[in-house]
Order: sequence, then C-alpha cells, then structure tokens
Amino acid sequence: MHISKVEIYNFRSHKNTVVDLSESNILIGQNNSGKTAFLEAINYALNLSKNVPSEDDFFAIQDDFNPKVSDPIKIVLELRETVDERFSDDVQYKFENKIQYDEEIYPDDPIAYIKLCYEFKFDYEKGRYVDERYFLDINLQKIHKSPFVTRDHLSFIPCIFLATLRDINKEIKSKSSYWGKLKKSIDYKHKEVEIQNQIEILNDLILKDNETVDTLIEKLKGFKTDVDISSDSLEIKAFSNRNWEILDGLNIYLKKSNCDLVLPISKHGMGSQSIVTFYIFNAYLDLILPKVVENEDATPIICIEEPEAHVHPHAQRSIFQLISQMSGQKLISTHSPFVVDQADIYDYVLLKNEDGITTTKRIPQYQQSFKFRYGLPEAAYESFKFLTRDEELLIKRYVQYRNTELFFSSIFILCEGDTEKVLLERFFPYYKSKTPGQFGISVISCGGQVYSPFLKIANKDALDLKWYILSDAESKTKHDLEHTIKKCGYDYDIFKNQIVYLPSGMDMESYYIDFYGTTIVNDFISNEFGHRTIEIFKIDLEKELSDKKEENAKSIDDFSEKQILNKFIDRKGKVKFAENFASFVIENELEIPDILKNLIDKAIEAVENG
Amino acid sequence: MGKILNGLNERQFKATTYDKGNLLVLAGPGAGKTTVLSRRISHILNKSKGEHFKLLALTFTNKAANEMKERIEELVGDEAKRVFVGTYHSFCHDLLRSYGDYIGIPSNFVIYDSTEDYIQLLNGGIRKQLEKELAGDISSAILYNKYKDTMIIEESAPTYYYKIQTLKNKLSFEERAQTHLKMMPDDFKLMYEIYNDELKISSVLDFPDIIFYTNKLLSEKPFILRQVQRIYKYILIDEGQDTNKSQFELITNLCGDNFNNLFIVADEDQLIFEWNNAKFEYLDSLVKKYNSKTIQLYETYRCPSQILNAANNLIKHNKHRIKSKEDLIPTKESTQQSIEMNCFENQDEEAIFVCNKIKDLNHYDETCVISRNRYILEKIQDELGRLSVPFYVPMGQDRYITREMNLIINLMRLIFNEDDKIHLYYICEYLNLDYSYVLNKDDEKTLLQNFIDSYAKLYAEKPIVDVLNKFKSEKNEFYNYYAMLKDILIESDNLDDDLSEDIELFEETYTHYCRDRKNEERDLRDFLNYISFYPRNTTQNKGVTLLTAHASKGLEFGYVFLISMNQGIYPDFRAKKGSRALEEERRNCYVSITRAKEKLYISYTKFKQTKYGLRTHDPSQFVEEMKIISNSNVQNASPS
Repeated sequence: MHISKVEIYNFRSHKNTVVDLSESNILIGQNNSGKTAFLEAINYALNLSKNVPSEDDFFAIQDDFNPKVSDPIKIVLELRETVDERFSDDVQYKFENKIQYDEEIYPDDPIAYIKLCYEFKFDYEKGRYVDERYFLDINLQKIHKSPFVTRDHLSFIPCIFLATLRDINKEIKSKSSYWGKLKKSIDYKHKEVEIQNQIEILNDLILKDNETVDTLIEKLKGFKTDVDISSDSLEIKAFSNRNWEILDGLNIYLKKSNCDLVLPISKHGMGSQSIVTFYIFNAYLDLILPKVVENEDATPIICIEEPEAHVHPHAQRSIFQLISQMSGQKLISTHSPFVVDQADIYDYVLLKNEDGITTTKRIPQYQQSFKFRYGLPEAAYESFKFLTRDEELLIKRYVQYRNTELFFSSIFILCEGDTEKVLLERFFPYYKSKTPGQFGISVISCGGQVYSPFLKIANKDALDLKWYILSDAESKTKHDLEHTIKKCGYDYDIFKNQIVYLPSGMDMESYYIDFYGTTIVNDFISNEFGHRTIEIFKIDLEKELSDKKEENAKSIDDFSEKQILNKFIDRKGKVKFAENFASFVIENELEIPDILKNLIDKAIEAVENG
Repeated sequence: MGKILNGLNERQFKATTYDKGNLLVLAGPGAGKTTVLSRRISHILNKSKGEHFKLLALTFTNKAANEMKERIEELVGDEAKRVFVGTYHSFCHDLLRSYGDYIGIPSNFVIYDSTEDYIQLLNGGIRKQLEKELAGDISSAILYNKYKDTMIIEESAPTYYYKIQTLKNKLSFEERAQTHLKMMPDDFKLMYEIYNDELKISSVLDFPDIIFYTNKLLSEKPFILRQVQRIYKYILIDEGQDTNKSQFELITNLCGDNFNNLFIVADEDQLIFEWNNAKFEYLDSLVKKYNSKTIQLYETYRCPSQILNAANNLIKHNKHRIKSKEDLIPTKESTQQSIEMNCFENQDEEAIFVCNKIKDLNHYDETCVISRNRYILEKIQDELGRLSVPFYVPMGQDRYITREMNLIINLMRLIFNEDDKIHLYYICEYLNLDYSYVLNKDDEKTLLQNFIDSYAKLYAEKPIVDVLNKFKSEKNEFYNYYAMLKDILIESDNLDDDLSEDIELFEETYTHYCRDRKNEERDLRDFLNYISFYPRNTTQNKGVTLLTAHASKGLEFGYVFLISMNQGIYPDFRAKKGSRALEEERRNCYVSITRAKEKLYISYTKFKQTKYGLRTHDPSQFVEEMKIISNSNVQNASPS
C-alpha cells in the first residue's frame, strides 16, 4: 500500500495542489516553492500527534485574511492498489466499507483505493481550531458509517519524517529522537544484577579513599542537618546505578583518520554528523519501526528533507543510495544535482511558486490524449508513451547527467556549443551585475543541435519550463530546428519568438570577430599570446597550404583577415579563447554583441514577468 | 474455552464445534437454538483470536440480535467485534450506505419508521397522479376512471401498499424487472410505479428495497461481493425456516457457489411467515445447494413430556417437513398433569374461567393467553380488567404509543428533511394545523420554515418556535433538543403509564445508540434510521401477556392458556383441508403449545354465536391430532 495521489488545499502556498506519487519521489524546485510544506502536509495527515497546523499555515493572499473564516486546510491522500499488487485480506478487513473502486481504469476487475482526508479548521461551536481525519466515498463525501481514521488504519502507512536540521547533539540526547528510541530498545534486564555490581566497583575505584571526596562528603553532611532530611547516608557517585539512566550517556565515538584521537560524534564536522544521523535513521527503520508499528503489511512513508545538507558530493551520492534501499515509499526534497542525477526522471516532482501559489509538475508516462486503462494490448502503451526509449536515453545523457541545474531554474537558454555558453555566462554579470543563476536562468550547451530532450521535458504537459534558443541561421539549421520544436509538441508560430538567430552564415566566432572588428581582436591576441603571434600564424598557414599540393589548393590570399582570425581561434581552442576574450571585453569595458544583449534582455524580461 | 462449551449436551456440543463444512441444525422449541448459535460464534472467534476475518450472523429481529450479541460479548469479550450480528435489513442497510452509490442509490437515503409513513408517501403520489390525470385526457385516466373519488382511492392506499410489499418480498432481483408485473392489473401496475417513483423522489427505501438493492449491488458489482466475501468467512443464519425469497437470494449471493462455512439454525415446524413468502422450499434448497449435513437438537429443555408428546403428535400430520426428523425428547419429566383440557358452553364462560384460573395461579408475569385471533382476546382483556389482574398486550405497529412522543419524533424528522411532506402532515394532525395551508405558503422557504412561521402566527409566544428555530441550525445536537421539546410538550409531573413507557423507550434507544456509535459518528439522520431498526415492543413481563399465535414465537411462559381451540378458529376456516395453509396453521399451533414451561391449558367451546343464533362448534382438529383427548379428562368445566 502506498500513497498514489496527494491533494493539498489551503495549506501555506498549496492552494490546490494535486499530484500523483510513485514509490519514490524526488521533490525539486527553487527555495520557497513549497517542498517542505508538501512533506509537512503529508506528515500532518498521517501522524496522530497533538501537533496541528497554526493559523499562519492557512493559504492567504490578501493581508486582511482571517483564518477563522477561511476554507479549511485539507489534505487528501489516495492509497491505490495496482493490478499486480492488490490489497491484502488484512487491508480489506481493517478498511471494511472504506474501500472504493475505480471501475473505469479496469472494468474487468476494478482497482480498489482508499481516500483519506485530513481537515483542519476553526470550529465556531467549540470556539477553537479542530482537526479531523476521515475517509471519503466515491463522491468525495465523508463516508457514512464509521468514517474516522484510527491509529489502526494509519499503522499501514506510518509516516517518518527526517527534517533538514539534523542536530546530532539533540539526536543523541533526546528521548524521542530516533537514537533515543533505538537506545530504549536495548535490553539488558537479564544482566542487571551484574551491572549494578560493576557500577558499584567502578564508583569505589574512582572515589573511595580519596581525600578530596571524603572532605567533600563531610562538608555536604552539614547541608543535610540544615534542611533536616531524615536519610541514613549521603553518597557521591560517578555513575548512576538507576536502571533507566544507565544508557543516558550512550554515544557514538569516531576516530579521526589522521590521528589517534577518538571523539564523540558531536565533536566531528557537520558533514559527518549529518551522515551519522542518516545511518541512525536507517537503523531505526530497520530495527525499531517494525516493532512499533506491529503491522506486517505496513509501508513506511519516508519523508526526507534535503538529504544533501552539509555533505560533500560523494557522500550525497552514497546517502541517496542508502535512501533508495530503504523499504517504503520515499518522498525526498532536494537541491542537490548529485541526488537528482541518480534518480529516475519519472520520479521528479517539480514544484514552482507562481504568484504565491505552488504548482507541481511531473514528466508524464503517457501522452495527455491517452486515457490510461489496464488490460490494453502492450503496443497501445508503447505507442502512447510521452517519451520514446531514445528520448529517455537522451534525457539521461544530456539533462540528468550534465545539466541537472535546469530543474532548479525558471528559464533556460539552449545554445549549440560551449562558446555560446561561456560568452553568455561571462557577459551576463557584466551587463546586468548578476550571474544568470542569480536570475534563475541556466545556460545549457547542447553539443550540436540536440535540443529535443530539453524541449520535451520543458513541454507544458511535462515540467512546463520556459526556454530560449540561440542558434545559427543557416537555412538547414533553421529548418531542422523548426521541425524539432514542432515534434516536441509546440506550436511553432508561437514559440518561434523564443529563438534568437546569429546572422545568416555565421558561427559564433565569425559573429564576434565581425562585431568587434579585426583591430580589437588583433589587439587581444597580441595581448594574450604575444606581439607577433598572428604574423607567425600566417606564415605557418601559408606553408601548410602549399604543402598540401592539391589541385585547386587555396593560397593564403584567398582568405580574408577575419577568416584567418577565425582559423587562429579554432587552433587555440574556441572555448578557451572565448573565455579569455570575454575577460578582455569586460576589462576594456567594450560593448556586448547586440544579439547576445538582446537575448539576455529577453530572458530577464521573461523571468520578471513570471 | 471451558466457559464457551460448558453445559452443552452431546448434540449441542457437536453442532457448536462442527468444522466439516456446511451444517443445518434443526432445533425444536426450547432446544437451545440461541445457545448453540452464540456458543458456536464464540467458539470460532476464540479459536481464531487475532485473525483478520469476521463472522456474519443474520437474525430476523433486532431483539434476537441484541440478545445474541450480549451473550457473545460475555463469552469472548473484545473478540466480539469480529462478528456482525444483526438483521438482514441492518446488514444490507450498512452495505448500501457504503456502496449504494455504485448502483445509483444515494448514500444519504432515508428509511421511514412506520408503515403509515410509507402509505402517506403513496398517497402523495396518488394525489399527484390524479392532478395529472384530471389535467389531461380523462379517457386514459386509469385511477380516476376506477375510483372517481379521491377519498375512496386514498382509503384504498393501504391495501395497495400491502399488496406492493407482498409482491416485493416475493420477487427476486431478476423477477423485479417489468416482466413479472405485466400479469398484474393496470391499476396495480400504476400504483406500483407511483409508489416506487415517490420513494425515488424522496430518496426513501422501504424494507423490501433494502434487501432488493443489496442483491442488485452484489450481482452487478462483483467486486463489492468479493470484498464482503473476503471479510466474512463464516455465515450463520438464525430462524432459517423463515427465509423469504429475497433473503434466500441474499444468502446465496453472499455464499457464492463453493461456500463451506454456512451454518443454519432452523425448525421448519415453526415456520409461520409463509404469508411473508417464507417457504420451506427455500430452506430446503439452501441445504441442498450447500450440501449441508444435518444435526437435530431434539432434547427439549422447555416443555414437560406431556406437552412435547402432544406437539410431536400434532406436527406429524404435516407433509412438508424433513422426513428423517426425530421426535422431540423431553429433559423435563412431567411431575403432574401438564395439560389441562377444558370445554365450555361459550366464549364468555371460557373467559370467566380462564381469568379466574389466572387469578388463582397468581403468577401473572409468567402467564400468557394465546389465541389465534386478536378479537378473541378482547373478552379476556375485559374480564382481567374486571378482576383487576394486570395484563399487557404487545402493540403491533406503532413504536411509540403516545401522541406527544410521536409528535417529537416527527418534528425531528421534519428538522432532518425540511421538505418532508409526510411527517409535516402528521405534525399538522397532532397540532390541529391546516396541512394544506402550511403546504402552500411560500416557495422560497422550506416546509419546516413554513410550518414554524404558521405556527408562530397562530400561537404567539410559543417556546416551541424558538426551540425549532435553534434546532434547525444545530441538527446534530438532537438529544438536547429532544429534552427541550419533551419539557415543553409533556408535563413531567403528570405522566401516565404510556407516556413514561414511551420516554423510557426513547431514552433506552438513545443509550444504545451511544453505545453503538462513537461520538463523532452520531448525527440526526443516522439516529432516525437507528430508531427505525430498533426493536419494537420490548417485552415487559409485567402482568399477564395476551398474545396472538404469531406474536408468541420466541417467547416462553410458565403457564399458557390456549383458548378457543375450535375448528374454524384455529385452524382458520379459510385453511382448507390438505392445503399448505392448513399446514401453516398447524405449525402455528405447534409453536403456541410449545411456549409452556409448566402447564398448558387448552380450552374450546361447544357453541358459537352466529347471526342466526347459537350453533354447535366442533373442537379443533388439532386437539384431536395431539391425541390428548383420550388420555386426559376433559372437564365440562363451568365457571364457579
């Protein structure tokens, strides 16, 4: 049993969020997009603790908002069986009359589901806020007979939450933390007598026949008579022999690799602390949870906020591996490309904050026109897939492994190669005093013209991301681009405005040589590579050309000055050259090429208009 | 474990612990039917402690269900939550409440408490139909042409209503499709339609509908059936002989084809609901379909041997019964003469003798008088009254006797459904308001509001108006408002017996309601339906009980007077020789005589009063069939 769908109403920025969930869910999106609220909403719905939302948690847009008359906070969870994994007899028994059926999706043998609703609102009769958990019927009304969700019901989906702030000191000392719970489960009853004896011995060993201690006891006895406590003795102990306190000091000690020092975990760095908290959490899931829940059918709902916090990239990867192996349904919020690049693209849930309201997007399995039903021929599913197998591979290669930042930006600019990327990224802060990242803009180099994986997932049916393309303007390139855009599901006439072309027949190098003119470029080369560099290059080039001895072989005179510069750039490495040339432009406070300027303006305008 | 199987006789033990498949237990009167059922349920629950399945035990009355539930709780405590014990109707009601939507039954359907309500509903439909007929072409006006008179047609509504109910009980789920109706006369067909339309408009279900739609749900939506079957692994049926067609259909639906844990307790000799379409054949085909083994419980704890012999002798004359059946064996020897047979000149003398005898015996709470028909009991009532002997006649239909309490309940119903014409009608009757005036006031307002406003205008300063206005906005605080209405409508220092009985019944109902429902689950709609399912006439055991033969089923008394045992009365003159009806009469008589724990007095009269003067009157053939005339001394008793 797992949560197949979440609906959140009027909770913080979630006005009406409806999102399907898989076994594993990676919540991505910028700060303030509603990821934490999403996890906390599920936590409120599933944990029968005294903790309830506060007045500030009601969704509000105006200032004069009054939570008492607002629509209630509602969190609706759907638990749906699949064709391969039907509800067990246990579930049927425990949820008698709560189970609903979806006849449409599988008329032969309808799929069962349970909808439970958490509601929080102000109750005028009672004069206070109240919360309630109940089941919904097929018409989404509270069911009639015993509608209320009990502890027994929730034991099927225990929700375990690990928040970002992982303070190891608190974890170690608190009784209610995962460590505290693990500690409590250590059973030493059968050895109690021996333990008592040993403590006795230890206390003696440390404190007996010690002059200071003896004097101290004498002094303290005065206090005893003062307050007239009628007890027989006064003792001083190093170790408490009270049963329940024996494990109070249980701690984790780590030896530093470069020296012999063994320190408690709290004296290690934040990274180690964070990782250790994870392992404690994992141990808790394995050792304690099954005992607490007492339900063999239970699927823990594991909510983890930013597992990457304080942890270096490799450790982030291994923590994610650890999480992947936990059994249960996982909801993980993250900003880490190292987490994102390991997850399945269909597990991404992209949250965005649009004018204060959270929207969610996923990459769909099937095209929108396809109404999913069980029992269709295999070919039907295949032909209606949103992404073809090839596209899935391309996305893995180009997006997931190399450009994960795309998922965290408002807008991305696609360009053909790294030269464009470098120039844009350098000119951005020069022109607008902020990096593209600060604007929420990513510049992505597509390595040739592989736009389709990006455009596909940017489609409004998928993650609905905004994009611009900087492209060459040869007619074939233009034609191909138009074709790609159409193929990825866009109306070309609308979206063609989001393409910025270089002048026809030019690549990026020839364009900027042309823009700045040979004098400036020559100046830069002399500056960067030495006074006579171009002169020497020309001599070498002439020799090369005559060595070829081909028919119709060109001589150096057939090349213009600009073309020779272009060839030089090619030799030196386009990207590196662009990098240094950009620095030169900025140092000398030169103009930015019009087309790039125009593109930057457009992108920023788009960000600002939401 | 010991407690559960303690004190059972060999056969009871075998039936309780039987685990080799489906079983029919034939339990004679007083053979421990309820004991075996509740022990078996407890035994299974105890054996399967902590497992995740439930048992389903279906009874005919809520009284039987409550009694059984209490016994089970006593035996297995908390495990009792794994059994549903209830009537067919309450089980189906719950299922429809949860899943009725899947076949288009709105989950907020209503069930009326009394037959009167349903008849009123039909009447409303008839009025509408007449209006429609009169507005249109008179020649095709079926109702108008048949009756020409609204009064007459409204008076015949009850007759139609009962016919419709009988038909509904008789028809299976498939048969209720129009084909079966085609053979009926046009006016009936129309009434049937009108009635069902009215039910639909008001989202009301009647009792046959509850089972009918459940059968529909289970047949059309197999996934719902599967869910029920996965939860309920055992099905136990009480009073199996009284199963009618739709109940039979429900059982076979629930069991499917290969069920192995069906347990039926029955006594075909006690089948007395044939008029409600309960037939021996249904029981018989259940037994055959599920290949049930049979265990007969013939050791009878209730009746002394002499009475049992008479019962055995009597019932053998019936052809429609299970062939291999053993005679009932007494566990109680008669210490003295257990049957006294008396013969009187006429019913007046009979009444005088019987009542004096009752007074002499002086065990009023342990005494009952049974007759075939209610009118015969009237003489007894008069005579007992004259002798100041307390007595009690269980009421048939009405749950609440007093005008005041019925008014309160009807007000609650109107509060729940503010446009409920039917209950508004009663309220107007009770309060002497002009119904049509309240009905036709203001379309913008609900009928409830119309009523409150009209009432306020007529009787200024009535606190009831304030209470209703507040009640309207806090419907679920119904118990507080009940208390307020009670304070206004009933003078507490002037309670007669009827009123205190009604109040007691209401408050008892509410206490049970609170026991059965968690705080958050209580609401007005649910409570009103709960009332409808709550047992009627809780037996009071105060004074002599006067019963008709049908009403005596399931009860027992130390002293039983079976009176006017004359041919034509018992058996009824309409039951022809060799007919099924005669067999039903005989079973009825069998039930009547086996109510007695100590002594049975049978009496008949020599003469009867007819329009044409005194005629001789033969004793009932049943008396002869019991074979007691020969060996007991029939006294020509005359009242002293």
